[in-house]
This record gives sequence, structure tokens and C-alpha cells, in this order.
Amino acid sequence: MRKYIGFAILIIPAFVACYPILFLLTGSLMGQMELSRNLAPVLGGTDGYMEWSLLPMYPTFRYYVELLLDTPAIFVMFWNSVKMTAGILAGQLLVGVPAAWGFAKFKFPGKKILFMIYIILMMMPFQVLMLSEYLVLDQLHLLDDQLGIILPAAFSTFPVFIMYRFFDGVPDAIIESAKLDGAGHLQVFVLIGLPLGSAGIVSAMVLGFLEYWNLIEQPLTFLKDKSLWPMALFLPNIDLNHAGMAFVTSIMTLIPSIFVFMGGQDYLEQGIVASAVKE
Amino acid sequence: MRKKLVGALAGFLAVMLVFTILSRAADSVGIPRVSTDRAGKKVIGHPVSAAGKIEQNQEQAVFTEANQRVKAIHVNEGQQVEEGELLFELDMEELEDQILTAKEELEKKKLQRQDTISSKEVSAANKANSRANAEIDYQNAIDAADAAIQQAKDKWDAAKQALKNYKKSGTGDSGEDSVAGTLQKTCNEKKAAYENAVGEREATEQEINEKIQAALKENSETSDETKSGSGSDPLTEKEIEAQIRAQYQAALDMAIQKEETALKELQAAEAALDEYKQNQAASAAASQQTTKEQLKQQAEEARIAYEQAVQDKETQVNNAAKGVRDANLADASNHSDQVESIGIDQDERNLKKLEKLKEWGGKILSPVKGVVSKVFITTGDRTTDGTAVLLADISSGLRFTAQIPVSQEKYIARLDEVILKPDNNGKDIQGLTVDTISTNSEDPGLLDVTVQIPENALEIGAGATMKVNKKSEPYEICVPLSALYKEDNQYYLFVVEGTETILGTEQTVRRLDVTVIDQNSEYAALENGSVTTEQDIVTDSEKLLEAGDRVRLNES
Amino acid sequence: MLFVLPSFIGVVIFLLVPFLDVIRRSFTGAVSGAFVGIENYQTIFKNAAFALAAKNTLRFTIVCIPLLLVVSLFIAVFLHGQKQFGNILKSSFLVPMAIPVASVVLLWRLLFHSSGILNGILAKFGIPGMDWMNSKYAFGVLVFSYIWKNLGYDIVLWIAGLSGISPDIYEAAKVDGAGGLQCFTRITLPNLLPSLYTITVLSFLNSFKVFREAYLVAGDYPHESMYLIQHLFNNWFRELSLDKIAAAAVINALVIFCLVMLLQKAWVKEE
Repeated sequence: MRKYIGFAILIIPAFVACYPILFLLTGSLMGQMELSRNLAPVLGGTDGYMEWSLLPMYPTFRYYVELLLDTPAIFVMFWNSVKMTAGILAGQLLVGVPAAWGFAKFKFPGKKILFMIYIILMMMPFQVLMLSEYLVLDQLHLLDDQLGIILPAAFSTFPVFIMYRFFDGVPDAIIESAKLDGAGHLQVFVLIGLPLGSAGIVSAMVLGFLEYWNLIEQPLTFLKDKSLWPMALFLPNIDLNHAGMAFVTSIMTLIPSIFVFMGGQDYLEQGIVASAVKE
Repeated sequence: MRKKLVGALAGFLAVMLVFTILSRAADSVGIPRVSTDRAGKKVIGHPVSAAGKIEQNQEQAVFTEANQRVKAIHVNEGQQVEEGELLFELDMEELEDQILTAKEELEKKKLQRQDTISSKEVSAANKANSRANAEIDYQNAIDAADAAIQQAKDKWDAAKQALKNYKKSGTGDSGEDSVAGTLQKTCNEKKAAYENAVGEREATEQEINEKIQAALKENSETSDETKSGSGSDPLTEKEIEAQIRAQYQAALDMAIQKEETALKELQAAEAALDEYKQNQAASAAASQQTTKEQLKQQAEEARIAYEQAVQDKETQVNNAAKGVRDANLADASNHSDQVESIGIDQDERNLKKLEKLKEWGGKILSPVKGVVSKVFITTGDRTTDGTAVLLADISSGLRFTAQIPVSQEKYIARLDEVILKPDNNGKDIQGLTVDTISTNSEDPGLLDVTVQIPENALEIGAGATMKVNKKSEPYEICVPLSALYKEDNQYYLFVVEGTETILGTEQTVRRLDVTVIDQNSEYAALENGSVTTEQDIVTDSEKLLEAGDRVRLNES
Repeated sequence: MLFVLPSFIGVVIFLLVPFLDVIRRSFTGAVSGAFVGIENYQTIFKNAAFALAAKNTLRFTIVCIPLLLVVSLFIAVFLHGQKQFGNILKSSFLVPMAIPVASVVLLWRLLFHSSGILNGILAKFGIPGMDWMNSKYAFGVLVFSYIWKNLGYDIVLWIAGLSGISPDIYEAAKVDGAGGLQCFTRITLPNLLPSLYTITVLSFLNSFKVFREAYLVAGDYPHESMYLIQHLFNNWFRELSLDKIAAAAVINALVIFCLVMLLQKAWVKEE
């Protein structure tokens, strides 16, 4: 009985947590009339308070069609986001996975200190590193260039840390037996490390995706040319007079995230846990 | 699970890719293509064209005598006639009848006039008589008066002469003159004797002085010799002079004596003369005075009589003149004979006209080459005072007339070049000029334009279209008219500008308000500075543009 | 070693060396580049904006993190051991992680507008509305936003911690006659203590990311109650006050370094 009361109580915050998705869906399906009537108080048209129904009264895909067919600018943003996210994740795979394997399965002098540095860097918020990154990008002439966003993020130490956790869990015994079978370091990494640590890699990627799909500070700081901006940065610039557009664009931004979330939820949890569990 | 995730994501991305392409395509389809041009320097022409007709420059009216019966009309309205061509005929019988009547009438009047003249002559003779009498009276009066005046004048002159004569002879008469003459003569003789005496004395003194001079000279010569030879003293000058004077003293004294005697005699003679004269004067003075008074009196009287005569003449002449005037006084003016003769003249002229008409056989011919524009007479009816037939005179030239709206007034002016295009597809007539421009008499909203056209170029009544193309000064900023839009009396146009957007550089249009200075059906001239020559101006668009619209430029 | 090298080179190039440069710059003048000692540090400590931002950030941390930890702990304890339904709820709490900040900004703007949804709801209960984003309540919005976003994350972490406690201990306690509350205070909390350090630090780190919402909703200069260190950094950066940024970055790095040391200590202790 107590259990059900608990559920009943928890449903409210759970609903609140998920409500934004419903809100955006509702908004995106509203017609222009309905939207402007509902938003009128916010836009300063009339007194009183904004009204919002749970579901649209007269659902329409008008704004979807308009967005998908009439607004090429949105797609530029969308592909900017895809490009940056994909670039960063690919870079992390290429650099971070071996590094994580190296930290997990090899012993070399200064490893502890080095790993410590990685952890410290992982914890640094962007603002602390903003200036130093700016200086580097300026030196490399990568300012106002998407590569300037991708490269530093690709060398982020956070995925290394996550994957390290998973690679660490690969039993040494298997590696030893493989080595006995005559496998080299690389073979061991490719044939044993990657398959067994795949959960960690996916976890890192899922966390990474949710992080970088949301990238705001870096492009805001380093990209002056708006045609290079990702969607996340462009969206808030849509003013409320084009609320329908903003809703649909929000949904469009949301969709890949939701896909990744739904597909990778387990890995997500594992990844979260990996950042915290004991060594 | 993992496969599903990858598949869904890949599917989503694929869908997005498709829509990316679709939206790009839809976008470029939705964007209107526009043609652009740049503002440039142009001359704005203002073609004025109007349809009109060919008209005659002059109309010629054909008249004939009034009140004639029209026998036949040989022309129709619109018919072209040569000079001398028969226009219409009058009835000869009627004409001859009228001539006869007129002749009789004339004869009557002539007789009447003769009567008038004869009676007038009689009265004129009487009048001349009395006038001649008066004139004679007048002359007589003048003559008589003049004679009286002459008499008076003669009298006055005589009196004056008498007075004058008296005044002249007032100092003495001839008898007394001889005494005075003798005395005078004596006096003159004495005077001459005295003068002789004076001359002798002076001659003597002269002689003495000469002698003295000669002696002195001699003496000085002698003394010079003496001084050099011997030591004896010479005589002084004074001693010499005294010597000589002593020698001639006697002669001189005698001469002086003689002179003094002559002077005494002269003085005595003069005294005698003076005494005589004084006596004479004292005795004459008393009688002299009375005579003179009388004479003066007479002269005065004569003068008054003369003046009286002059006055009388004036009165008499005036009276006589009055008589003449009375005699000349005109009778009440009487021109009846002249009036009658004028009437006769008129009748004669009319008759002559009728006779001439008869001479022509009652045929009226065209005076000029032209076109019959109006016939006012009808066969069988009588002619009136007015025009019988109106002719368009071809020989005086033709003109083209057309109406244009007043709004085009500024685009046409006298002497502007005109091209005339005949309606019958004839060849264009070039090189003409606008002759007159005037407000249409019926519709003030229209202007009449006339153009003189060369002879034989077109026929009267033919239609044609004129074209005048007035060229403006060259304007710096001209745009095609298709680029111009108007809203609430504000002209504007769109210029294409590159805008940086997410999709790269895009062409958008910007509205630019402009002021139009001049325009025709193709181009508009804008105020300087409203548009630069570097701006791309939209001249043509697939759809209605609004400021900020994206456009694509037509490849040109 | 070879496996680590590419990553390490990148880290050195993109993170380490420039950060060392930043440390150097924090002791030099912005324009001249001459050594100025700790002048930059003195400057920022005297700077009112820095004081405000630091105060807000600290306040935010002190309010949010305990709140988040307690709420998420309770939910985690409740969900722990629940199977199907529990998983669904857990997923629901994780959803905000997946919602891009940009998407949610729109909702935030409409929700907290002075004539927005929230005030509309409050008005129905007769409570006068307020301009949430432009009053001291902006801070509350920030707190709400943070908890909404990170609740799921912390729940997962707590559940992981709870899983680490052997069921045998509970069994033993129950045998000893301990009640539910006693079990919780005597067994659960002590056993979760090592996790607490970790979760605290992670929550703290995630708290930095709340800037995104704050920035996107309210811009460069939000209401002063939510003016965070990140805003300050951003504004200094835009003004090119490099010396101030450098000094502030070093201070921040130091603070974070200390926290990571704490975390490390926690791990070590656990061992």
C-alpha cells in the first residue's frame, strides 16, 4: 500500500521531468491561430496569463512542413550539429579508446600522476579552460572554424576516464592467455579489449552525444560566423513571434537525443555509475 | 537493441538529408527570379501622338446676287472642283425680268433727279445776286472810309509841317542877317590881321635866335685858335648874345608893337558883333511864342480828326461785312439731288451686276480649285444674301489638325518636328513642324494642334496620326519604368543587396523611396542621389516583391 | 604507453600547455605582458562583479547540492528494489538529461514569463504572480532547473551505491529487530557515505553546466541573483580582460583541484 502511495507521489515529479517533451510536441502541432492566441499575453498583445492546453486543439503539421520544406537554414544548423558531434565522437573513439586501454592495462612510470591530471582536467568546467583554449586555437588559426570546436573536445579526458573503468574490468587472465597464444599488444587490444569493453565505449559515446549535441559555450565563444553554429545555439535566437518555428526546431533537436537516450539508456546508466563506483 | 538504435539514427539522418535537399530545392523554387538593371544617364522622350484630319487652310465662300432663283446646282458637298468649274445656274428668265425692272426703276429715278436739280439752280441764282450786292456795299464802305481817313491824315500832316517850319525859322529873318554878316566879316578881317602880326613877330624872334647861334659858333672857333696861339682873353657867350640882341632889338620891338595893335582892333570888332546879336535876340523872343502855340493847337485838332476817321471806317466796314454775311447766309442744306444720284448709282451698279450675271448666262463658276464643303442653296429656291456655296480652298494649302489632352501640353511646342502617318497606310510624312497649338474652343481639356502639310501630300478629310517626340535634357539617374512602384503617392523601387545569412550570401531586396522628376512610357528620371549607378535595381520580377524578400538574379 | 600517447599529446597541446600559459598570464599585465605579481588576483578579489558571481555560485552550490542529494537519495531508496515500474520512473527522471538545453529554453521562457504559464496556474489559486526571471526568484528558477536536469543522474548514482550494500546486512538487521527507519539510518546511510563524496563532487561538477540554461534563458546579464561565475568569465572574455580571466581561471582550477583531491581521498578511503 505504501508502495503505491510512493508511486503516486513520484509520478508527479516524473511527469514534470518528462513534461517538456509533451509541451514541445503540443506546441509544434498547434496552428498559427492557436499559438498566437495562447501566446498573446507573453508577446505583450493582451493582459492576463498565457494559456496552455495539454494537447493541441486543432493539431496541424503545418509548421513541420514549413520547417522541413521552406527553411533550408535550419538544415544548415542541423548538419552543423551533426558534423560537430560526429567529429568529436569519432575523435574520442580514435584517441580516447586506446588511451583508456593503455591506462587500464599497462604499467608505465608516472601513470598515476598522469591519470590524476586527466581526472583533474575532466573536472574543469569550460570557463576555466576557455582562455587557454582560445589562445591555442588562435595560434592554430582554428578560430571561427568547426575544427576548433572538434579538436579540443576530441581530446577530452572524460571518455577516457569512463572507458578506463570498463577496460579495467576486463580480466587480466584473458589477456595473459591471449599473449601466451602469441598475440601482440595491438591484437590483444583489438580482439579482446574492444569487444569486452564495448559497453564502456558505448556508454562514453552516449554520454558524449548528450553532452556535445548540447554544445553551447564553445561555439558561442569560438564561432563568430553564424552559418557555422549548431542548432542548440541557434534555437534560442528564434524570437517568440516565430514560436511555431521554435517549437518545431526544438522537436527536431530533441529527436536525435531521444533516439540515443532510448537506445542507449542502459549504457547511459552504466556510464553514470562508472564515473562513481569504486576502483 | 544496439542495431535498432543505429538503424533509427541512420534513418533519421537519411530523412533529414532528403528534407535538406528538398527544402533547398523548394526554397530556390519559391524565390522569385528578378531581372536587374542599373540606373543610367538617359534622355527621356515624350512621344505625343494623336489622330486627326486633314483640313483646308482657307475656305472660300461663293456668293451670288440675292433673290435669284436657283435653276440647277451642279456640285455636291465633298466634290472637288477646278477653278472655273460650274457650280450652279440661275434662272435666266427671272434674271432678265429683274434687269428690266431695274432699268425702269433707274430711269424713274434719273428723271426725278433732273427736277430736283433745276429747282435747286433757280434758288442758287437768287442767292448769288444778293451776295454780289452785299459785297459791293462792303467795298464801297471801305473805300469811303479810307478816303475820309486820307483827308484827315493830310490835314494832320500839314499842321505838323507848319509847326515844324515855324520852329525852324524862329531865330531871325534875312534882313537882319546882313548887319550881322558885315560885323562878322569885319571881325574875321581883324582876326586875320592879328594873326599876321603874330607871325611877323615870331619870324623876327626866330631870326634873332639864329643870329645868336651863328655868332656863338664863330666865337668858339676863334677862341680855340686864340687859346693855342696867344694868351689874350676871348669873349664870353653872354656877351655875344647881348651884342646880337642889341643889334635886333629895334626890329623886334616894332613887330611886337604891330601885334598889339592888331589884337586891339580884333577885340573891338568882336565886341560890336556880340552887342548886335544881343539886341536882335531880345526883340524876337516876344512874338515868337504866340505863333507857336497856335500851330500846336491846329496839329492836335488834325490828329483827333484823323483818329475819328479811322474809327468811323471800322464801324462802316463792320456794317458792310454784316451785309455780306447776311447775303452769304446758307439756305437749309439740300442734298436731295445728290441722294438721288447715289441711289441711281447703286441701282446702276446692281443693274450692272445683274447684267453681268446675264452676260455669264446665270452660271456661277468656282473661283478657286477646291472642294465643296457646303452648299447652302437649294434648287428652285431663291438665293439669299448669305453664302451660296462654301469651298475649301486647296490652292492655299492644307493642314492637319488633331486634339491632344491638355496634360500633354508640356511635351509639344510650336515648330516641334512632327511625323504624320496617314491612316490609309501611306508613307509617313516627315519633316513637318507643329504650326499652332491652341485650346479647343469646345473642350478646354483639349488642345488643337495644327500642322501645315505640303500640297498634294494628303487629301482633305483624310485621316492621319501625328507623332511628336519631345526629348528632354539628359537625366543622370534613369531607371526603366518597370522598376518603379507607387504606393500612396510615393514612388519606390527595389534594389538587390547581398545579405550574410546562415546559408551564405543571399540576395534580398531593399525598398528605396525615390522622387520621380520625369518619366515617359519606358523610363523614369529620378532625383539625383536617390539611387547610385552601382546599385542593382529590380526591373522585373516573377512575383510581387516586398522589402526584405529574397530573390535570385536572372542570368543575363 | 603507445596507446596513451596520441591522447596525451592532444591533451598537452590543447589543455596542459595553454593552461600553464594561463597561469603565467595570471601574473602579467593584460596589455604590457610585464610581470605584475599578484596584482591581478588582488584586482579580481576587489572586483564587485567577481564577488557577486562567487557569492551566487557558492550560494547556489550550498543550496542545490544538499537539496539534490537528499531528494535523489529518497527517490533512489524508494526505487531501489522495485522492478518494472521502478525502472520506468527511473527512465522518466533520466529523460531531462536527453532533452537538449536549447529545446527546453523555449519552455522555460514561456513558463517563467511574467504572464507565463506558472503565473497563470498560481493565479488560479489566488496567488499573485511575479516576474520570475527578473526578480530574486530567478535564483529559484535556476535551482529548479538544476534539480530537474540532474535528479536522474543522481538517482542512478544512489541506486548504484545502494546496490553495493549487501542484502545480508539488512537481513541481519531485521533479525536483530531493527525497524525500517533504523535500517536506513544505521545501515544504509553509513554504507552510502563513500558514495556521498563521489556524488557530491559529481553534482558539483554538473552544477557548472546549469550556466547553459541560465545563459540561454536570460542572456549575458541576467538578474543579479543568478549571475554566476560563468557569466563573469563570459563577459570578461568578451571584454578581453585576459588578465582577470587568467587569474580567475587559476583560482577556479585550484578550487576544483581541491575538490578532486577530496574525491580521490574518498576513493582511497573506500579502498
